[in-house]
Amino acid sequence: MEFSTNELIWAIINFVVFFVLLRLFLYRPVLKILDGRREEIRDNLAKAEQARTMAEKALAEHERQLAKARDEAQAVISRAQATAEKTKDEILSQAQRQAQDAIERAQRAIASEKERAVTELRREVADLAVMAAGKVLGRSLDVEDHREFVDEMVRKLPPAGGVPAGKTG
Amino acid sequence: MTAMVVFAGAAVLAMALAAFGSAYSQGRTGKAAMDATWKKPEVAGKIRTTMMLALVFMEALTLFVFAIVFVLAGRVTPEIGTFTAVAVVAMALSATGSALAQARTATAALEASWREPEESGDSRTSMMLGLVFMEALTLFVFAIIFVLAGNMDSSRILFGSTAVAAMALAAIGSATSQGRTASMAMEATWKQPEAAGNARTSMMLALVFMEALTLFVFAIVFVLSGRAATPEGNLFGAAAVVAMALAAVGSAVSQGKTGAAAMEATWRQPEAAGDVRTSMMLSLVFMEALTLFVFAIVFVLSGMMG
Amino acid sequence: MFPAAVSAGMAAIASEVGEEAASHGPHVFFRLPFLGLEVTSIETTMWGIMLIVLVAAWLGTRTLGRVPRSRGQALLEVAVDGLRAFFAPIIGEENARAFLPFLGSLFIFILLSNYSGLLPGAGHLPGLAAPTSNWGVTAGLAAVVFVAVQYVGVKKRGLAYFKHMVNPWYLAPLLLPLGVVEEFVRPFALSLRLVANIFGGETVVLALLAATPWFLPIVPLGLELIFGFIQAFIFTFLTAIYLATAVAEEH
Repeated sequence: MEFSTNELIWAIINFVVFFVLLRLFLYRPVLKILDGRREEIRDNLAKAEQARTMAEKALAEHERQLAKARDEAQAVISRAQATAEKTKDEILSQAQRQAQDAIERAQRAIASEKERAVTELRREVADLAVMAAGKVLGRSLDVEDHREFVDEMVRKLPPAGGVPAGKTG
Repeated sequence: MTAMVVFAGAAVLAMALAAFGSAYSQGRTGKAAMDATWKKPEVAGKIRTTMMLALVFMEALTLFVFAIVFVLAGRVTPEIGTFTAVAVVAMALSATGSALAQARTATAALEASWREPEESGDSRTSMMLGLVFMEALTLFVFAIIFVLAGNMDSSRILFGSTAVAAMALAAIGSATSQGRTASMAMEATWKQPEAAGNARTSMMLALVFMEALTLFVFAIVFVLSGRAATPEGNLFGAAAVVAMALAAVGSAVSQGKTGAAAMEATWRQPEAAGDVRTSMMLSLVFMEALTLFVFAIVFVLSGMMG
Repeated sequence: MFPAAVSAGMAAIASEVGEEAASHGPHVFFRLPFLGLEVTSIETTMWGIMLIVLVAAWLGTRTLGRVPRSRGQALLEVAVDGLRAFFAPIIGEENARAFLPFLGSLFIFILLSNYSGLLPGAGHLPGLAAPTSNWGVTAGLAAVVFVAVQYVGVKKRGLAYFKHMVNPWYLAPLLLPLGVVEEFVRPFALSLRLVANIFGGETVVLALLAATPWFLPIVPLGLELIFGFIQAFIFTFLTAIYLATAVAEEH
């Protein structure tokens, strides 16, 4: 064992040359390959991860849209139902109103017809009575007397709807 | 002739010491194996395999001492008699140090093998690793003796003798902390079976640091041995290796503590194993640097003297 | 009583390893005409290592494709990515990516240098000597690390990089010298740790091989395989931490 400057200098030169060449021929290419592969794997993993998140997002979006469509359909249906209900109610109430009107009109017509008929009847009864009475009395009452008389009789008659006045004669 | 007598005396002493160290360690290991066997008879086979492996390592340590005695016996001259005598004793000491550390590790591994029988393969692997490290420490001492014996003469006798002693000291220091760390790693294997692999990796790193300390002493002895022929080189070398050994032992002790604590942290909090290991290494680096500073100063000074 | 072979081995190792350190340096092939540089076995070994690695890198990256086409590419990718994955928890993902070429080059250079010392004949055959068992080489590597640390620190944080030496300001007179010393102690310890380990291990193996060529050297040889790796690792690990500390913002 000894110490010589000669070997020291040679060792430095040799090792530095060795290191530089080895880095050039071995480490740089091999590390490049290893790093490249590592990078690739990392990339692929990242891509896969990205694809997965995208797929998940798409699925979620899809489901969201589906739910939205379902909600919308539901809304349309319920709106239609509501409209139908309203229309039905309207139609119904209109029909009721019209029916009511028709009834009322009919009743009014009936009432007025009856009044007219009663009035007509009353006049005819009075005329008949006058005629009958004239024949009975032989003379004819003058028309003024006549009328007073009949009115008086008619006043004595029961109200409208009662026994016709002619039956009394 | 006196030199031969001294060497022979030292050699038998060394052999006895090494044999005692190996035997004691084997005894502890055997006892741990027996304990494990009655506690978990169903894994007796696995326990036996673990035990046998450990015993072989300890046996080999004594064989290394035998080998160095054999090698040196042919080189004994009146001139280097002291060196050969010191060398064999140093070898025996380091073998004993290794053996004791191995016993500590093996005992812990055997405990792990009955407490967590499914993981006994794990703990055995960790144990083997640990034992190899500790075995190598003695082989370092073997190697330095071999190197020094090759050019030993009267002019370097002081340096050579001190150097082998220093090596032995460093090896013992390293082995002790390795044993401490490794046994804690075995404990981690059964306390937290999931952390077994992590504990083993951390253990190995820690053991390398502790091993390195003895290796630094080895390196400095080797460097100095070329410059130890002059009286100044001889004296300086002797002082320098002692300094190195002391630094190494100091570093080893603290590294052993750190290593053991790191093992404990690993099983207590298995998720933090990586952080624990990083922190452990950073702190071991600092402790190691302390020995390296001594190394550097010795290296530079010896260059200036030469 | 004493085998002649062992005796001869001892004599051989004494002349080879014992004296080498003091007497002569590594085998010198030729002297360059400039800078006074000499080409020794250590340089040729370094060049050999560089050549092998660079050729392997060139062959492996020649047919580089986004999808691995060859086994070589897969291997290189695993190695480079493994290094990055290893350093990421210690110094952070970004730093690991940025410093990877430097740390990786350092590691492979030191590892092969360490192992070159375990080849049979290393240190004896002309042209083959473990570079990392020479303190000059490890000091050179540590010097490169030192410069790299200062460079990335100043590049990333400008003058604020030097703030860690004078923070808190009232302790600056005490901290500044300590900080400067620490800056220099780091590469020093870095180089010494490596060289002492590799040199020591190599010598142990050598001595045991001389003692007996059979089974003894196997233990330290096996340990040296672990050591060579771990020492290369520790050097790189500490460099990584120094670099990360240099670019880290103060809290």
